Amino acid sequence: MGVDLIFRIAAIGILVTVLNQLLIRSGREEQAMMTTLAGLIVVLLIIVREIAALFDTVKTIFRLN
Amino acid sequence: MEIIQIIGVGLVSTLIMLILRKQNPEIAVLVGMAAGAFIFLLIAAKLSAVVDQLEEYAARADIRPMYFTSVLKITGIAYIAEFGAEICRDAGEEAIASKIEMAGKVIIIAMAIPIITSLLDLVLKIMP
Amino acid sequence: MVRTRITRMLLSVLISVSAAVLVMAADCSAARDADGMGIMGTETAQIIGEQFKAGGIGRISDEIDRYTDEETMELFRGFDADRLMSDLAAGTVEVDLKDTGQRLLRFFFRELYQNLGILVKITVLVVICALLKNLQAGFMSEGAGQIAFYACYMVLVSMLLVSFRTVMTIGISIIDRMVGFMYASVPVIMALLVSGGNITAGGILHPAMLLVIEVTATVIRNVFVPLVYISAILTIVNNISEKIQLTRLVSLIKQIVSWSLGIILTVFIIAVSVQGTLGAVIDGATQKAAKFAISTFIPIVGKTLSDAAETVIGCTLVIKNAAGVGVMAGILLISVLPLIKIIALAGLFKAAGALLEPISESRITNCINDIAGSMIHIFALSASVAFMFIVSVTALISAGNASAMLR
Repeated sequence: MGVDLIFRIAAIGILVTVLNQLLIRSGREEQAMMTTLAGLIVVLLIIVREIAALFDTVKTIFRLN
Repeated sequence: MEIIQIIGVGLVSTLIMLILRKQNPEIAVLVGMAAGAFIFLLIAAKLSAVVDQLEEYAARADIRPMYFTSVLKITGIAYIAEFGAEICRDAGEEAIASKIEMAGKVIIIAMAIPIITSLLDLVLKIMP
Repeated sequence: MVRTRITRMLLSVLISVSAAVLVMAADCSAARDADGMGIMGTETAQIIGEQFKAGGIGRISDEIDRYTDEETMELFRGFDADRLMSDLAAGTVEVDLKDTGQRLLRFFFRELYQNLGILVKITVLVVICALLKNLQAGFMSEGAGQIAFYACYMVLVSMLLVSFRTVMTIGISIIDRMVGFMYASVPVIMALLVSGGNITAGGILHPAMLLVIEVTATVIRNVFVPLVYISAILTIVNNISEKIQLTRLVSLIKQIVSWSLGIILTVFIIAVSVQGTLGAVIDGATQKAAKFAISTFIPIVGKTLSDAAETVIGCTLVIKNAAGVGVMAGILLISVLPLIKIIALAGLFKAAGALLEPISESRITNCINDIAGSMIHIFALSASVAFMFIVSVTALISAGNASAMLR
C-alpha cells in the first residue's frame, strides 16, 4: 500500500480505457462494455481493502466500535 | 517530511483523475477514493497520538470518560460522513451526498442525547 | 451598572459596621459614666459581676458555639465569647485587629489554593474543546461542528453548576445559621433591655424585631436565592447559541433582585431605628417618672432605693452593651468564613474567564464570567442579611443607651 497503489489503479484505468476504445472502434461494443466492467470490478476489489483499512483506522482512533 | 509526500500524492491523483474522467469516470471516482483513504492513513498515526494525549489530559482533569468519548465519537462520525458525502458529490450525485450528511447529523444528535439528559438532570437537581 | 450598585452597597455595609462598632465603644463608656461612679469603682465591678452571672449571658456564648462551624473555631482559637463579654463589661477589652486580619487573609489564600483544582479542570476542558474544535473545523459541516461544541459546553456547564451549587448551599446555610443564632440570642438582649429599665423598648421591639428578621431572611432565602439561580441558568442557556439571546431577561432578573434587596435593606434599617428611638424616648421618660415617684413617695429609704436601682440599671446597661457586642461578634464569626469561601470561588472563576479568553470561544468565556457574577450576587445577598442583623443589634443597644442618656 503506498503511492504505487494509486499508480497501479491509474495504470489499470488507462489500460481499460485503451482496450475500451480499441474494442469500440473494431465494433465489438458488448465486449468493450464487459472489459470496462471487468476493469471496474478489479479496481474495486483492490480498493475495498484500502477502504476497509480506512474505516477500521477511523473506528479505532475515534473509539467508534 | 510527510506533508510533502501527501501533497505529492494529492497532486498526482488529481491529474490522474482528470485524465480518466472523460473516458472512464467510474475509475476516476475510485482513484479519488483511494487517494483520500491513502492520505488519511498517512496521518492516522499522528492523529491517534493526539487523541490519546487528549484522553490523558481529560482523565487527569477528572472529566467523566463518557463525555470525552462521546465528543470523540461525534467527531469520527462527522469525519466519515463528510468523506462519503464528498466522494458522492465529486461523482455528481448531490442527492446521495446530502442524504449521507443528514444521516450523519441524525446519528450525532442521537449520540449527544445522553449528555443533554445528564445536564438537564443536574440543573433540576440543584434547583433549590 | 448593577455591579456598581452592589459594590456601593457593600462599601456602605463596611462603613456602617465600623461606625456601629465605634458607636458601641462610645456608648459603653457613656453608660458607665452615667451612674456617676469612677470607671473602676469596686462596688460597680461587683454589681457588674453579679448581674453578669444572673443575666444569662452564658447563653450567648453557647449559641455562638452551636452555630459556628469547626473551621471558624479553629481559625479563631483562643477566642472565648464569655471572656470577650466580661472583658467588655469590665472595660479591659483588647482586640488584636492586625492578627485577626492576618488570619483572615491566610484563610482566604488557603481557600483559593484548595479550590485551584477546579480552575485546572476547567482550563483542561477548555483546551481540549479548542483542540477538538480545530480538528473538526477541517472536515466537518457546520451542524456537526456545532453539536460537538455543545457536548463540550455541557461538560463545562456541569462543572460550573456543581461549583455554583456549593456557593448556593453555603449562602443559604449562612442565612439559616444567622437566623437561628439571632432567634436564640435576641431574647437575651431583650431581657437585659427590660432589666435595664427599657420596658417599652423591650416590649415593642421584641416581637416586632423577631418578626421582621424572620420575614426578611425568609424572603431572601426563598425568593432571591432561587431568582439568582434562575438567572444563572438563563445565562448558561443564553450562551449556548449566538442566535438565541436572553441577555435582557437575565439583566432584568438581576436588576429586580438588586433593587428589591436595596429597598428591603433600607426599609428594615428605618423601621428598626424608628422603633428603637421611639421606645428609647418613652422609656427615658418612664424611668425619670419612676425614679421621681420612688424617691418622693417612699419615705426615708426612697432616695437610697432609687439611687441603688439606678446603679444596678447602669451596670446592666454595661452588660447589655457587652452582650450586644458578643452577639455581633457571633454573627460576624458565623458569616465571615463562609463568605470568604464564596468570594474565593467567585474570584477563581473570574480569573479562569480572564485566563481562558484568548484560547476559547467567546461563548465559553461569557458563560464562566456570568456564573462568577451570579456567585457574587449570592455573596451580596448573604452579606446583606448579616449586615441587617448587625444593624438591628446595634439599634437594640443604642435604644437602651439612648434612654439612659435621656435620664
